[in-house]
Amino acid sequence: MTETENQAIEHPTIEDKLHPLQRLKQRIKTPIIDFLDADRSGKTDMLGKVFLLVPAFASTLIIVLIFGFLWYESVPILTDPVGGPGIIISPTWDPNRDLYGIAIFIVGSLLCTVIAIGIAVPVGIGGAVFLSEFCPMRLRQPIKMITEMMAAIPSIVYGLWAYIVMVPYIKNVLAPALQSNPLTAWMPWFQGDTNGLSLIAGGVILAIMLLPTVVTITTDALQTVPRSLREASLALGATQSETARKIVISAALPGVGAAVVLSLGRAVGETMAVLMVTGNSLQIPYTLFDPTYVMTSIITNQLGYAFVFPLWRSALFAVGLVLMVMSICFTLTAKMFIRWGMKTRGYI
Amino acid sequence: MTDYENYLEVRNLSTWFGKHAVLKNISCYFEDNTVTAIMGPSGCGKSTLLRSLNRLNDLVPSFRLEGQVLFGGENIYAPGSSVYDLRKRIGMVFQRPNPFPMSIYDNITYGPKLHGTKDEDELDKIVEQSLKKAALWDEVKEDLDKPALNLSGGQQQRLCIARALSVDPPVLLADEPVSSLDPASAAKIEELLVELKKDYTVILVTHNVQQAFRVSDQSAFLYLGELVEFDKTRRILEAPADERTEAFITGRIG
Repeated sequence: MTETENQAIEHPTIEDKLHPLQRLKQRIKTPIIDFLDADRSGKTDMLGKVFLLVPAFASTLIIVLIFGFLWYESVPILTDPVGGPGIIISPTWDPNRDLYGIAIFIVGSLLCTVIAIGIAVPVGIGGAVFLSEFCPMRLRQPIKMITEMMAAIPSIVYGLWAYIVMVPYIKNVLAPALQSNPLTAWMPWFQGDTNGLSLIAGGVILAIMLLPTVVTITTDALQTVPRSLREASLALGATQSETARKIVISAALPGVGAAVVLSLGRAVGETMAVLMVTGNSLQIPYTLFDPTYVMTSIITNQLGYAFVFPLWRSALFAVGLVLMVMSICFTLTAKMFIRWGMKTRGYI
Repeated sequence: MTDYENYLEVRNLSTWFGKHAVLKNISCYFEDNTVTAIMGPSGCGKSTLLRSLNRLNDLVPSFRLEGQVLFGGENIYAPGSSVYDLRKRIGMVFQRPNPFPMSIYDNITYGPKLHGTKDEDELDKIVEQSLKKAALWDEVKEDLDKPALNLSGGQQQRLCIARALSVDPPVLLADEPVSSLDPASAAKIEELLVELKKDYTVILVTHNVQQAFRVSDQSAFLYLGELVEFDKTRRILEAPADERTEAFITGRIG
């Protein structure tokens, strides 16, 4: 017998003397009494703790379970001799010949995301700075409300609009203009015939969809920068624009970073609108006007056919797995960057 | 009053926020190398008066002003007068320490860089001089790359003073600079303000009579937007000419 057990016997608690059934009753009753007493000082709210632990635990568990499930479904293709981890860098996707290279989709998704973020973040931050720093009070709320409404438009509607308006525009106006202008005609990324369904169409429609997120979150972040910081900058002889650029944006970095993180996640995972305007052609895009195929599109398009072919199906789940890993990596990198920024600013 | 370079004078100044009159026909002057205290109970317009001197009130859309503020003999509200040049020559320290969320070094170099100083050696020199003038150099000389927000409240306020001095303004405005600090830090900053008088004209807003007595050469007492008294601090505090001043000094209003 160890020392602690000894002590337990020497000092029996009230519970030990009770009948097992009574003890069970006690066990159930005590937390409830504690819960009701929780606001009194010195009482621990066990029941409350447990109830809050469940959702906290569940949200962590869900991501682990999804990850495990994706992994489980991808194992066949990752271990099969015709597949293997090499599919990540193999560019040929032809399920009829048992070729499951997914590099095309990874490249397509990455390029679309880069274009979308490259457009949406600078434009969005610019818009937010205008709204927060220069916009007359009376205009700010209406503009903000309309921007927020943009976020509520279903992505398929964006897709329809892009299909009817943007794709023909790229085909008939943008591509010919860029390819005939001597300034831009030589650039390798503007080459090639196009029917409008292209990488650039996917990137731009994604950018448009990300804009409201970037604008609203960044505006809110800029608005939380204390007025005294702006005044300090102005009192040193800075113009309003210098103050906005050098002080306000910099001070709001964590919020601006959060906007970028959120939009990154959405950009990588967005499906519908991108699927409708990128042309979904199985090739690596070499110019902005080439069609492309993104990861989400291949899953949506082929899951129905693939379901009875174990390898094909597994390959699609592998795409999903890569997508998830990519999106998590993006988020973590961005978070680390934000943390670093907060450290150098002394926020943490 | 032959040298008009830094001489700051307020003539018949009245201001409004919307329809609300804040200052009523105020005239006073701030001589070079003195500390002037602007005293008065809360809401009497002392901060508004101070902010009129570097045109910081202009940021409020409903702000309106009549009368003149002369700096070096020129009306700073005259059309065509550059507000940026003005603010470069009139530094300001705020009620709460408000260092920029960047390193100590960058806080000080922000102003000089805005106005075109790019040379690294010169910036280093400005940082050292400004921090020395603000009596902070010895405490932070090893940590210039550290974030300014990691400093204590009193150190932050001295950093803000150093930041204001970095562009070498002849006039320094201070809006209740110690009201959010502990007594020890407050005493240090009061000492510093007296020290700065040698090189700068200091205008201090305060609602603390003892502080005004310890620090200032002349005082302006404002009550409900009116300038009640304006004279040597000692004279006002020892023999107030107006009963409202006396009431404030003895603590009956405030």
